[in-house]
Amino acid sequence: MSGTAGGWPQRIDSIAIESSPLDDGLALEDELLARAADGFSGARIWRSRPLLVVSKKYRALADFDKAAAGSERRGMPVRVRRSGGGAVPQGPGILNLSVAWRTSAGALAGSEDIYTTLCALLAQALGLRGTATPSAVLGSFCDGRFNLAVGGRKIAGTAQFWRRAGDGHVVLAHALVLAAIDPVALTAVLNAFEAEAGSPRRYAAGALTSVAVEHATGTLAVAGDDLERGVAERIFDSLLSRSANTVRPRECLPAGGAGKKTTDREDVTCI
Amino acid sequence: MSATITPITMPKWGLSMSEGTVVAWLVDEGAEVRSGMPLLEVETDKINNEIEAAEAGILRRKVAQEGALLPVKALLGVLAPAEVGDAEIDAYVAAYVAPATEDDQGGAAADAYQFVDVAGLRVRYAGRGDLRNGVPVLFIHGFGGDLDNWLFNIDAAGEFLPTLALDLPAHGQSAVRLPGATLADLSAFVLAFLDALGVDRVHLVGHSLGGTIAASMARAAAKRVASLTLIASAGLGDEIDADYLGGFVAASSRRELKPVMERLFADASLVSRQLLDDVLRFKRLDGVGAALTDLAAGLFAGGRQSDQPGRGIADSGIPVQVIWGSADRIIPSRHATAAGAAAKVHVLDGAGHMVQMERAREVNALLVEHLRSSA
Repeated sequence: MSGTAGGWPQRIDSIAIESSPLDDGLALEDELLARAADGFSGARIWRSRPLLVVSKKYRALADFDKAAAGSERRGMPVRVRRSGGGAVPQGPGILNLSVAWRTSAGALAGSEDIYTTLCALLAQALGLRGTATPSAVLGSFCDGRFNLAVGGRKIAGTAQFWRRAGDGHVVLAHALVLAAIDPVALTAVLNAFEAEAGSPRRYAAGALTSVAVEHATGTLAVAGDDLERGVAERIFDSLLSRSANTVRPRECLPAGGAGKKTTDREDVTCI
Repeated sequence: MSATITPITMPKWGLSMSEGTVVAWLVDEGAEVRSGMPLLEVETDKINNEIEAAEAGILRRKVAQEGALLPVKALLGVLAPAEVGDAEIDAYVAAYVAPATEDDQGGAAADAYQFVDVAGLRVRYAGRGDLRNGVPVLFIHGFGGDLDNWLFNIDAAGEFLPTLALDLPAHGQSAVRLPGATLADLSAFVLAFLDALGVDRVHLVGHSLGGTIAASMARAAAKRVASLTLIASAGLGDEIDADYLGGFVAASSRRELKPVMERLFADASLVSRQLLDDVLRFKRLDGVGAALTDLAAGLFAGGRQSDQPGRGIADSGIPVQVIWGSADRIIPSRHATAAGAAAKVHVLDGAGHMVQMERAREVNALLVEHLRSSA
């Protein structure tokens, strides 16, 4: 056999949409990781209250504490996440997908496959297949090789966290989707934080786009007027279409009880 | 350099990693650590992951600062027992020179692979370290495989010896032509590959078909083989799974290939879409189907192995180690004991045919120990 093993999980035991914005998504991701260590794979689609979320390496910046205090004054308290990358905004108009599972693969085996699968399932969900591609976007926040980009502008970002579990690893894959945002305001908040923290990194508002902008002409079929809700459900369906589950059928409903989501795919447990 | 000091270095997770950022130290200086304990967290490609202690010891020095972006193999810290003096640790850190990586020679992933012409065939290989600096370790993959099958193993050996891994003829990105479909043809070819690189003597690590080629090389040129590590190896008994070989050669779609490939692993979820696509891309190359058919017919017709050079190979005096997964569905693990009484035999419980991928950490520990004791 050519190549190496690992990659996106074949099945996801539980998929759900969190209906209310979370205080922060970090506790949710920790819970997903803990369950993944027990062999239970889970995916959550969620929003958060307004926050500025950084990876752990930011704590090494000389003026991190000062910048965190400044950002809180600007209405964007700072939190530290597990996955890698740069500072990202959270809040209204921003959706997250977190997926955690256990693999018997070695460190970072198939990590690129995970990134490309995340990008592909988001492109499908956002109705941008053939238009959106995985690529770096110079000047975008939390840039990497596997943003989802439309016309050179970032519409979603991706990152991962790996930790050893027994002979293998647990993997947390995260994507942040810009559903409907103000690029100028978000970029200003991020740049102010980076400057106060003493980092040389700066971002450009022109490097960002959003689902609302790309579908301004109304080409994305979403349920009702609620764009965030519609995008969340489409991500849900896109995930489900890639999960080759074998467990017995169950009804599927998003978390929080705000409207059930059912599927004829009866083999997914929803919480 | 004191043998009791263990460097902690920036790992290379996958072929494309060239550098990483030190995110956080997870233990304090002076702390006693066990083997396998997480020592620090590193970020690469927006992925955070932990580096674990390769051996037990005391974390004597944090060399890398949190937030530092460092190349693969850079010194991050030092483990040593209490009896090693501080002055000795200081001297070790001051004198430490990171071993050269391909990336240092002016390029990233492209440099990971090189090509050489052997007997009129172009051969792809990956070389790390200076081949004159110690007896190199040569990794030989199995039927239908390529050098990336060793992705998780090369660095472990590369810690203290130069390494080589090749794509066999009609495999990977080497020329799609066999030098002949007998085992003698293949082992003569790999010896010629070493000649072409000016390498006289090697430690051989072979998986499956690569194992029987390694044993055949040891039969043909014992003086050139410093040690043998045979992993789920052919050449040690009669049986081999004809359904797998036939299915692998015949499969032309993901749907056909998936159940075949799943036979290679105890954990079928390791067969990713990416892996299937990589294999299909290779199989669609002009001439690959015919070459694999010839090879299977020449070596494994009717599910029987025509040559068994591994039987009793340890009696030759070459240090031999045999590693197998107990759940191997391609070649039965009971063949593991056929190499002779002098061979070290390790059957890993529950692992499948791709044991060097599925249980890389354990296989690497065994490999390194065997290389050390054979040096």
